[in-house]
Amino acid sequence: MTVRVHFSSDLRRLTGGLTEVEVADPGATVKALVANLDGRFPGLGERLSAGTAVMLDGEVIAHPDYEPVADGSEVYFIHQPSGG
Amino acid sequence: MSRVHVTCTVNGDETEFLCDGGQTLLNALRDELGLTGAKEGCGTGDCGSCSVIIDGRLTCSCLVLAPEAQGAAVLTVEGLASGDDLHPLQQSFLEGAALQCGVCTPGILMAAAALLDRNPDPTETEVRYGLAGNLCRCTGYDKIVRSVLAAADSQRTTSQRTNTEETA
Amino acid sequence: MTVTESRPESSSEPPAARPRYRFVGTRPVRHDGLDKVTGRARFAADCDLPGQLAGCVVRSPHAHARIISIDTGEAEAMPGVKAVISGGDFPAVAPGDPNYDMGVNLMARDRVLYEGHAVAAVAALTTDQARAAAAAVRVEYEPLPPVLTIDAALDPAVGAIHAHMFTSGADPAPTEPSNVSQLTNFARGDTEAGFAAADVVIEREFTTQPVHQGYIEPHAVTADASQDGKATVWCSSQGHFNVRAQTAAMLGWETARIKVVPAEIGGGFGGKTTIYLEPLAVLLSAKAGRPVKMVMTRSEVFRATGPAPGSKFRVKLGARSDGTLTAGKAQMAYSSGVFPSYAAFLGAWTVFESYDIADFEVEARNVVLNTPRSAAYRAPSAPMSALATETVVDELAQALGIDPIEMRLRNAVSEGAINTLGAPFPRVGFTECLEAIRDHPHYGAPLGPNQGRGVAAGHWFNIGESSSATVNLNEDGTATVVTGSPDIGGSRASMALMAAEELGIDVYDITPVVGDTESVGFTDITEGSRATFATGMAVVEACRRVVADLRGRAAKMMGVDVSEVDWADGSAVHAGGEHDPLPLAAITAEAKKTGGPITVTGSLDAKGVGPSFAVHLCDVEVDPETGVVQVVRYTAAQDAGTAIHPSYVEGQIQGGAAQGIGWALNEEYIYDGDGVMENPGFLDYRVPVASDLPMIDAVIVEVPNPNHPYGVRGVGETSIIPPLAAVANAVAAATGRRIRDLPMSPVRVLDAIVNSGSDSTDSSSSNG
Repeated sequence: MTVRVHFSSDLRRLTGGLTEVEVADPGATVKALVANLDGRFPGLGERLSAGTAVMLDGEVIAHPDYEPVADGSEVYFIHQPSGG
Repeated sequence: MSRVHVTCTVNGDETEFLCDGGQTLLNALRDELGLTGAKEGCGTGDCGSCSVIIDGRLTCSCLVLAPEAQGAAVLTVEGLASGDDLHPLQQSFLEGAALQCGVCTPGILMAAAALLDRNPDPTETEVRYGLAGNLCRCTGYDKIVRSVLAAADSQRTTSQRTNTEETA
Repeated sequence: MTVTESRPESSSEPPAARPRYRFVGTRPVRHDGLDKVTGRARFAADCDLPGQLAGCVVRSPHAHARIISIDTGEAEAMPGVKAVISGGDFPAVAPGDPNYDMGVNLMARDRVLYEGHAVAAVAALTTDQARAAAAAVRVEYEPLPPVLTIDAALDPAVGAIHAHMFTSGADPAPTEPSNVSQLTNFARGDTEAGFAAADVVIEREFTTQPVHQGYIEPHAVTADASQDGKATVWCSSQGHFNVRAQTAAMLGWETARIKVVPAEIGGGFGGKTTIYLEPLAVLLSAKAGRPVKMVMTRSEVFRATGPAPGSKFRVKLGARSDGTLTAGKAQMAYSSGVFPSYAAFLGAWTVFESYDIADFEVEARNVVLNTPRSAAYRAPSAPMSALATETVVDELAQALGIDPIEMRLRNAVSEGAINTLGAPFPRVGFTECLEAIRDHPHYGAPLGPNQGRGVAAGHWFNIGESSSATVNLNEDGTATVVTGSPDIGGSRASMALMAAEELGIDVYDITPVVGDTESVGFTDITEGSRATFATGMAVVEACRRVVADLRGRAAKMMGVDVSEVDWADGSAVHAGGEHDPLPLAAITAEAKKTGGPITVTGSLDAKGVGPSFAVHLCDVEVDPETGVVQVVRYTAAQDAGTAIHPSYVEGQIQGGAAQGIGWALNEEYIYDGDGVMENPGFLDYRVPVASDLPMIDAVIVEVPNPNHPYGVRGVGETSIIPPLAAVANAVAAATGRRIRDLPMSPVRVLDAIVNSGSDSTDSSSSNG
């Protein structure tokens, strides 16, 4: 199973400049995917766990830890906006 | 400190209350008489949410001392409807969605009522200047102004009908 | 009393393709309306308890000072005084604690950090006694130099307000503390190449001052702490579960010890998403053993509660001669008052978000000052960033001889465009809003002398978050819908409309209420334009499960399998037609025999939020003698997704526009050299009044959000984003002068007219 992961550009310094990676064995959920990414980019996991939302296959999910990822999923790590 | 005894008419009822000499009419209405329709938005006469009508005159009740109400006729938002019949302004505000949070609404209704009392057929500009002492932060005034104009219309229609019936 | 449904002429008829709804999209009189026109509605300050005391806060006269000592002895001995508290009465907070900022903001500890900062509080029998006692609390200060401007905060030579604050997001991590709390960088492509490919490049500087949300109801609370260690709090807020959580955290209490009862809220606009008085009132009540009521004065509201940040930007955009934007560069600073915030981050995210720009660089700094801690204000940070971008886009259009709407249409983001964060946009209605304004009669209408027309756009994300709704069917077939979302602009009516649509009963047979923290499931703050979207989803979910339950009950009553029972127009209908339809009331009447009460709670963390766009069109008339700017005509188009109650969607659009006009023309915090606010009242802090404004024509655009059962996007915030630039562009059109420092007060406008304006100081270049 492979998913494509996109990072917002302010995360570049944690990803060695990459804004997009393919993850071959992402695990079943976003949480597992984050753990996987943290192994590859140390420190990224902590950053992604703190208030980061994802856009998963076109839908913004504010608290995505247990959201399932599927083969071919497009995962965008974005930010959770606040509001007034 | 001795309290001041005040006798006045509030919303048509003979009313007595005790207040401190330095107490505002707004506080007396709210704290002594339980009429919390008038609000304190600023306490300095700038926002109009405490507006009441005293002897026919639109007044910021936060700028009037309670003892000054001695002998006066005070009308608050609680007295605007006649029994179960809403004042045309109240009805038009509901129908025209002229309120959002509603905290300025009592004051604006009193200001609008005072305006229509002296000018039953105001222009949009006259309504805007008539309400210029009342702040609303939610609506942008659009629906308020429209609702006041609508109420003026319906009031005129009603009074014309009454006049016609009387002459007939 | 008569409450009639009215359907005034709608400014936008729904497109024909939209599903036909019986209730959604109609304009019933709101359920809470009658109480609000008769004075019966109870706002925060209208709550009184027997035996209550009056509380009063002692506030700092200094913008920055060390507290040498606080002597409460004299105050405690004064007549009527029942309790005095100060920072030492609250749990200690250390720098780095998640609650540090809020804890210190609530009550100063070793230093006061802005004028108006709370240092102590008093409860006494009467307000006069409490005020007298507050004045008798002796605080000895050692004044410290205040940091009052963005420039000062950015100056490394100026000492850091917080010794523990190191710029987050900076690479490498700084070794010295500073007044820059956070740095955000977004970038895409090759900006230099992008500017090189442009035919025109324009770079401009902008400043805005802090402005207040200006809700008419001052903060107020009544707290009753009982001997069993619990407390009930009556207050108005945008989220009473949040008030409970924050109050508990500030006191070090378990959540269950606090019950928060929501009063009607007299405006919030983001400013009532946090707390100021509640823990003080609870602590005073616990200490005095009696209920305590605290009400802020307007001056306290200005000096101690949430202004929106001030800002200082430099924004550069390049475009080809056909209008295509090629590159953007933004250097931004937001001042969030004395504590860090996400203001700069949100500004960085929003500044180029509306346009498809291949190459950009954004750098945004959040700075702290010795001014009140900023709070959210309707689409936080976006009005300022839009002022910059929408002004420069306007100038580019002018330089290229392209119609300003056409210029925006050529660059507007649409579904699939990659946003600032690198993610694709879902279906959005920006193009539709631009077209709605272009096609509006206002756009081509003639202008009079000294008049000018400006257009500007705005975008907001909107948010989801957690909501709960309980639907209780009553014995007679009416229903109660309880949600946890404070109603700040008519959301109860929207909840009732969606419930009516789902259940098929009349909207007035539904009573929508806002439950207290012990009467309904957890619900996040009413913010981010989320109530009708997310809480609406919870209502719909609960109603759909109610309908499933009703179908089962009806099947039992009919003696058929549930699969044979449908729900239509408020009745259970047998698919085979052998049984008469059973109206909802017939089923609730038999509830005891078919399984008991019918009640369902829907709870969710809403996904699939739909971003919103708006385009505003503004005509101004500028008096060349006085510099006074009068807005003479205003039209605002906004994509609501679906308007559940069009009147209140229009109301949100109109209200946001008016606030933005005030921000553009008059509103600002003014400080003296010592950091003392000089205009803490509505006389000198001038919000728009009725005579300042024209009618605001609200055009509802409906591009449904595919992720909401009724297509809702949320409408509360986007409307405040475009006005700053729309007014500025109109003033520029009327006067030929660009004013890029807000507010555009008469003095500033006159100066721009009389002198040459600021154009010459900025760089504008043509390539090739």
